[in-house]
Amino acid sequence: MKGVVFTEFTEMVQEKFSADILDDIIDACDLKSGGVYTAVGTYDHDEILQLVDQLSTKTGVPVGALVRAFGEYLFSVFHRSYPQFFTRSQGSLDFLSGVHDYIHVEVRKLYPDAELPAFSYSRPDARTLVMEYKSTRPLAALAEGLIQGCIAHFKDGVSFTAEDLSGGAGTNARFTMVKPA
Amino acid sequence: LAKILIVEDNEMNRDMLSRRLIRKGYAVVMADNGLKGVEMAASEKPDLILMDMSLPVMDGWDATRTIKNDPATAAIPVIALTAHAMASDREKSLAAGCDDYDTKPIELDRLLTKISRFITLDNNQQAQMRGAA
Repeated sequence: MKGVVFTEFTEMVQEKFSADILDDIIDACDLKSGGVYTAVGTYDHDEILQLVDQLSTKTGVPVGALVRAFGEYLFSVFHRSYPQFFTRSQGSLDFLSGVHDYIHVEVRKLYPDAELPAFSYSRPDARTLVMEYKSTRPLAALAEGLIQGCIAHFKDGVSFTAEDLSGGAGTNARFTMVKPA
Repeated sequence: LAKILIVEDNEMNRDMLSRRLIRKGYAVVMADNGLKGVEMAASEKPDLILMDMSLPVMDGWDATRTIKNDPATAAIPVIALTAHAMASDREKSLAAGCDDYDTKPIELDRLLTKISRFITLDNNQQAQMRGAA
C-alpha cells in the first residue's frame, strides 16, 4: 500500500486526536516498518489495519467508523493534491463514474505499482449510480468514506447507501448513490 | 540522554523519525539543511548524526565531509540515510566520512540496531525503552 495513505493517516490521527495517541498506537502495534512512514514508500496493508485496530482500542471509536472517517479525510487530501482530476466533473455521480476508467488510470501513471480495488458500475436510471467494490483487501469502509467525502465535496444532495456483499469481510460491497429529483 | 541530530529537509520525515526516536529513549535535535546540520553538530555536540544525503543549501556528502574535517566534530558518528538504494551511494557516503549507511524508507528496528553500534542507552533510557515496548 502506498506510503501516502500512511502519512495521511498519521496526519489525521494527530489532527483529530493527538500526537501522543499516534505515538501510543504505533507503540502498541507490531509494525515491520516501525511506523516511520514516508509518502514515497510502500508498506504492507496489514500495518494500516493494525493501526486502525489500535486507534479503535485507544479511543473507543468502532473500527468501521474510523476507516470511513479516514476515507472522507483522504478525499479532501485527494482534492487538494490533485485538483486536475476535478476539472471535468459536474457533480458527485459524474466524478464517481470516472473512478475506474479515469482516476485509477491516472493513479497508475503516478504509482505504477499501486494495487487498486476494482469497481463495476450500473446506471439503473438517470438519477442512480450503483458501484460494486471488489478487493483482496478488507477496505470497503475506506471506499465508503471516500464516496461520502466525494458527496460532501460536491454538495449536490446525493443520497448514499452501502451494502456489504462479503459476509462482513469488507472485501466486496455495493454502493448506491441517488441524485435528488 | 543520548542525543541524536537528525539532518533531514522533509518535515514529515523528520517529525515521524524524531518522535519514534524520542519514544525509544533518545533526545533529538533537528536541522533541515546540510549547513544547519554542520552548525548544530558543533553547537549541540550530539552523540550521533542521522544524515539525509539529498539536502538543500549543502548536501549530506559535503556536510559530512565538513563535520569530519573539523576536529571538534570529527568523532561524532554519522549514519547516512538515502533513498537511493544503490551500492555506489553506500561507497560515496563512506568515502565522505559516514560511519554507516541505511536506506529509506526507514525500517526502525534495522536503524536502531545500527544506532546501537555507536551509542548505548544508559539505564534510565533502557527502562524508558522497556516501558515503551
